[in-house]
Amino acid sequence: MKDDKIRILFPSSSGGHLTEILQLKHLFENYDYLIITENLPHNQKMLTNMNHQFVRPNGKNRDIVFWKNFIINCFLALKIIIQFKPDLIITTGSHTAVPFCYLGKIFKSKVIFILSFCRTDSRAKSADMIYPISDLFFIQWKEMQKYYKKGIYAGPIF
Amino acid sequence: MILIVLGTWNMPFPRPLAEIESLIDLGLIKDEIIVQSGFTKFKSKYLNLTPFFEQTILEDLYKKAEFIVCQAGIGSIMMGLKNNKKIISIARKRIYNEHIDNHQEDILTSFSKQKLVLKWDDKNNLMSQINLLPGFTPRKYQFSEEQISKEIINFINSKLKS
Repeated sequence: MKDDKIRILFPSSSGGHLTEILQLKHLFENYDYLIITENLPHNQKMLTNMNHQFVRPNGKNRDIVFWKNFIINCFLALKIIIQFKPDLIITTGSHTAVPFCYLGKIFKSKVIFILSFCRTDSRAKSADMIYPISDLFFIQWKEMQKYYKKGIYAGPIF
Repeated sequence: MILIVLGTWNMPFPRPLAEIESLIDLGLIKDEIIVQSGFTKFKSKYLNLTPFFEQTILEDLYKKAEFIVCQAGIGSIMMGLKNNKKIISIARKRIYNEHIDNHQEDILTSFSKQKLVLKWDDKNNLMSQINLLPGFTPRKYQFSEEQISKEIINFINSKLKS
């Protein structure tokens, strides 16, 4: 039974981050959800038939274009959060997710961070940023507990 | 058919294609090859490159492939394991400008130790790994995605509903 009263926002950068979010099928089936990711052609192909919305894409470089798009994405995040009114924000990270988590927190959303399965033994920048404001923080390798003390291990997302 | 998957990361990764091209040249690979090349551009005499397939078509190709050769990205590997395929995987490396860090190397080392995939690296080239395929039975990966979802649903029921 779908629980339409709970609204979950899934902001995620492209690639592995998004692939991991797409494993959470139980949540898509049970709750009102919206996936936010980078506007790239392959993502359109990945998300056919899913509730989704795009924001500006950002590549590998942390250059002027990155920061311009990052700022535009902050405004888009504000708009999406006001419109969608998420009760909960769930993310596997990277840069796309950061403004959504912080702005969502201001608007009283709960925040759940799932550290990427790819992180087997090193810290992640977006995880470090979102860690302090996360209500739940999952790790997918037990070894990661040494970096993220409140990390909960509940097995891998796959 | 052999399916080659280079992932969605936006840095080029021509290294595996060059190796495959030379093996075809030497007549060591004769199978039909399909490549999802992502952001990699590569001029080839033999290979047909498709940047991105629709998700359902890609899944179908995974099912039909005899084996998979892919980057050590989590999505590329997991789709192979989900379809019980034999996988030869190669990590994108920072020194070759294929990624911004070496996390693919970490994941690949862990997965090959667990006998989930065969690792193609500087010590073990593609041909030697292809020769290992007949005797390689990948360990069955225990998918456990419900666990995190269950924890989240518990959280929703206890913290968001009052």
